[in-house]
Amino acid sequence: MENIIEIKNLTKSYGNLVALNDFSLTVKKGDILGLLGPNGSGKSTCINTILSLLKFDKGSIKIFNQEMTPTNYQVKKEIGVVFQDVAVFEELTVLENIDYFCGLYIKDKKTRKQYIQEAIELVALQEFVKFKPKQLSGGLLRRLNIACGIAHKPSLIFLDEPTVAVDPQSRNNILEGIKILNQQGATIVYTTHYMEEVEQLCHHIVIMDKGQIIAKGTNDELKNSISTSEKITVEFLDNEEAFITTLNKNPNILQIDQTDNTIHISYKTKEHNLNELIELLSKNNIQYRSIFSERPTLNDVFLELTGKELRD
Amino acid sequence: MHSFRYQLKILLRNRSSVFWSIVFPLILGTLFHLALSNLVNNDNFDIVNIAVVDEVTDQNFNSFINELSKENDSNQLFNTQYVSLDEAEELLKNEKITGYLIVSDQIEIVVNTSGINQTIMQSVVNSYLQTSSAYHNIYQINPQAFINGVLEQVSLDTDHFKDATNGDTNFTVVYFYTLIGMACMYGGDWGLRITTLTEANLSRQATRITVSPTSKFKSLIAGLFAGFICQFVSIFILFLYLVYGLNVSFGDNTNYIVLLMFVGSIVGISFGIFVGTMLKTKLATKNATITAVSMLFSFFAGMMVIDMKYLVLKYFPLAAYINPVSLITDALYSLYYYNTLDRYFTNIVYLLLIALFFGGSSLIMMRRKKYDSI
Repeated sequence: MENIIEIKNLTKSYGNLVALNDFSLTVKKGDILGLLGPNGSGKSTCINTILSLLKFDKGSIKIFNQEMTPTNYQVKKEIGVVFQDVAVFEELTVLENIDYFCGLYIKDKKTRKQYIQEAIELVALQEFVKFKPKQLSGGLLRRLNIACGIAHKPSLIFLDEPTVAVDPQSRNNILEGIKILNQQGATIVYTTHYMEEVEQLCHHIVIMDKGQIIAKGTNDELKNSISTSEKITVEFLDNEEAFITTLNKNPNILQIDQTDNTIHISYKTKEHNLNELIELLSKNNIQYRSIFSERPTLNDVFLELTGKELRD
Repeated sequence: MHSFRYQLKILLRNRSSVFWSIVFPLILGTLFHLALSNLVNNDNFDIVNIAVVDEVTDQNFNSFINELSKENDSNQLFNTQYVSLDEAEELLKNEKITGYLIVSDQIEIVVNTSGINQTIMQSVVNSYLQTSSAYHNIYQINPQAFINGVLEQVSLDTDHFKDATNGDTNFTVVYFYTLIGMACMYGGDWGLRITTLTEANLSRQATRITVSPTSKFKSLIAGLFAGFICQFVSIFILFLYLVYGLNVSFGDNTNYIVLLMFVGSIVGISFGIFVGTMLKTKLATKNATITAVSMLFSFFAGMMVIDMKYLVLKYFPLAAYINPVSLITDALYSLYYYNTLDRYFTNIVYLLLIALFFGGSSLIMMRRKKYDSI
């Protein structure tokens, strides 16, 4: 499939701080690529550099097979950006904001009017078109921010943490909207530190830390790449130290973390672990309040690769 | 056109800019009017109380002073008393007179303070000395001139004052002229806003505009036009309010006043862009800088103390030439006071040079396409 973005050996420093370190990335047409990493990992710097807003020390950036420069308006015409901070004008209404930004791309008034209407419907702001931004809730404001970035129907969209501090309803609305945009043919680069969003939305995931790519692949590929295959959590009624010591002898168990009366067990393989554990608990007459199994998360992937939590 | 239309909307709906650029000068003008209303209503010179101490009787000078001291005469400038030196000193000490003239081989002026009345005394004496010197020289070179009446043109009456001015010498207009100058500089607020709409590292909105396929130059031009219209309209509203609302006299040179407001608006806008691009600080600090510098310029132009303008001219003349408020005030005053336009156009040229400096330096900074950080 055609490459929409090709970044090679990109390095960007702020003084002594290396924000992007020999960063290379390819994004295929029609993909939803998730850039996942903790705050300060270089996600926003990466996007701002791709957009030719920031100077960089070395490397190359190609979008639609053309070198990206601040004056490559042909490429810019095809790009939509939703920034992390809400970038709308307090002085303009919802409709005027969308019209202003869309008008920077689409000159034809009739086409623009239709596009604006579709953008408003996509983010469900029909009832608020005459509102000023300060009259909107945080979630609605985020939706307006998105509408301003995508109203011109770009074929490549960058969304930089668009759901930060958003209520669940607005978050679902935003994520559904992004899926629709992708179904309509847009390639999407989505940065976040919410792993659930990435799991729900992205076809491919790039995990970043300290300006470098530390892992990439599909959701399953990433989860399968680590040694933990299954995690089981058990909440006991009492402290069961003896039982935990017994469990530790199981060669299929990688690690047991204990918090009060609760244990989190990491297994190497994922076959029959829950059944075996329940049987063992019953055999030993151990009473427990709850027990459940889960697959490893992207946080586990990040934890195993870096030794720290994604949300640190 | 699309960018221009929306930038104009954004500027005009910004309450802070509208207040500082339009409302605040109107309020200040009204306050000036209330404070100066008694002085403003005086259409003519106040008759100046003076004393003359004749150490040596100079008939010519006495005749000259007497001519200017005729009671109920439309040309009356002085109310003159002939007294001894001691009496003159006493009168001055008790503020019964503005000053006194000691007539000996020379004519000495003694005053306690400076002001318009003292300036009138000085001007009259200078006028007498220059004219009598001219008489003397002409007589030496061509005595026939007296017979031919050439010297009728070298008159010694108050027409010197009337001819040189437009007949209205109300000095309080200077306060209102500084107000126009200050309002021009407050245009910096529009200029600053334009910068934040153009430079991607100054606002998120500008970042969004920068990633669009609209060129930075086009966006800037649209912003400049929008900002200029806001500023020019603000100044024009102030001008109309001063003329028709407060009856401040600006003379008859409306076209030149409009030109001056045009140039002053350019200076104000370019000043704001200069502050916006050069200062690496928060927007609020930049706004405060524009307000503070405008007030400082206005102070040195005589807005709070009228003598300040003359003190600056006397001790730091360069400061007067780089102070846009002072130049605007002076240009308005020269239009109002003098019949010639030389001084007016000199001020216009200085203002354009200042705008060129502000605008040129800002453009150099704004030429960059990428930023070190956002």
